[in-house]
Amino acid sequence: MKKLPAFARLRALLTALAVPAAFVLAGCGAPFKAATPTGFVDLGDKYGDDEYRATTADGLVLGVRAFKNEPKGALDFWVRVVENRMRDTSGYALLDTKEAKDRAGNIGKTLRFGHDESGVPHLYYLTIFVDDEHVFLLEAGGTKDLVEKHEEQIAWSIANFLPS
Amino acid sequence: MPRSVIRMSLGLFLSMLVGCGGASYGGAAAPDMAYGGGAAESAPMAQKAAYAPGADMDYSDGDAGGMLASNGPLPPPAPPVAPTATAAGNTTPAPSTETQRAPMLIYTASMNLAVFQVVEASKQVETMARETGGFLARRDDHSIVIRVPAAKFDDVIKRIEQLGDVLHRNLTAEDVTEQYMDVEVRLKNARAVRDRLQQLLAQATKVEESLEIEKELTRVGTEIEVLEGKLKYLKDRVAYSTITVSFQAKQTDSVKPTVRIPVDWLNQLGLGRLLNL
Repeated sequence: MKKLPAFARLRALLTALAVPAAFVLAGCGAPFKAATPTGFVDLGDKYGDDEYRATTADGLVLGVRAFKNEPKGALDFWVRVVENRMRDTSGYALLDTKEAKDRAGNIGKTLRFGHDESGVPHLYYLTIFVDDEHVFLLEAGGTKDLVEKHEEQIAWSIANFLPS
Repeated sequence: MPRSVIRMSLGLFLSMLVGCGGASYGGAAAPDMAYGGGAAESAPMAQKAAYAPGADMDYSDGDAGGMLASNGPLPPPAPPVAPTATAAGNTTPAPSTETQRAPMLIYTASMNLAVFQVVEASKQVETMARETGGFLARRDDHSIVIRVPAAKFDDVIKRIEQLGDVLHRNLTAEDVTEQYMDVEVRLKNARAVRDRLQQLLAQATKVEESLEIEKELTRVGTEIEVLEGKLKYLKDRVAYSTITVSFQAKQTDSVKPTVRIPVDWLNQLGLGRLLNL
């Protein structure tokens, strides 16, 4: 049997490894693409594929998480579940709710909560998008002053969020 | 005065004291002790003692007859029985007069607000109390208790609801009319006994008799003070409603069960996790 040149062998080996790796990566990648606004730093490599974090130097934090849509529910269901949990169990004040739209044009809902942490008023925004497979939670939280100061960046990160 | 007469008189009044436990307002005793006796008092006197919230309160511990002519406005949450004034000179017996009396209601509210801007909200609640003629009763990190004039109860509740996210509220109206009337009748009778004892004391000729009457006077005096205190307490609770505002999550043992969806990530919501990078 004729031996292949060293270069050809290496190429065959890489091909053999790359093909399955590509399949694996395709199945394991993050189910969303988060958008990091100006002034925030992406802390993504510290978290799993299903989670994204970004923060400002002052401590205003953005987060995105994806969960399986199980039990399968529509947007209204998950919004109501989250609202009840935050108000009844955690005592957060629901300040208002408004419609949200991601980069793909999906409609979601933003719940704006207020809560005192160690006597300091904080704001906590939860935006929910739902598709057949996933429930996406986009969080933004920090002291009231910080959040109010960065309202535009938070809105931008929601508008540019993209489910995969 | 013969000693036996004094003893008989004392015995009579003691038996009246025992029998005036409030079960009967009809005034089986002398007419001036009957509950309905005050109905014939003058209108100004009657108005002076009107207890409807918002009216000028008379805390002079007063006069049983005045209570019968409560013609002021009723508390805002609209008690079921409309008050009517008793006409001067009306000789209606006590039971029918009772039915004309406005109910004495103690309004109490407990409100649970979400924990947000607690310091500011708490200050605003206190300001509301002062603006409406009420006062701060108690305050700590998580709650504030205010007392407001009953006539302002409804307004203050509405204003507090504007302050934040009301998670839970509980409003109660306790009818203490019967309790008040009971104390009132017992007080009136005790005062009558005291007056009579004082008359007997003035007529007593022997030291032994005087000592016996004075001993009884002391006992009756103490009872009058206790009854006056109860009356004042009830008047105060009717005149000023109590509102408790708490800033905390709903208690887990709340009457209304909360459905808990069995999804783990719901337990991972909140600022605590998000800000813990």
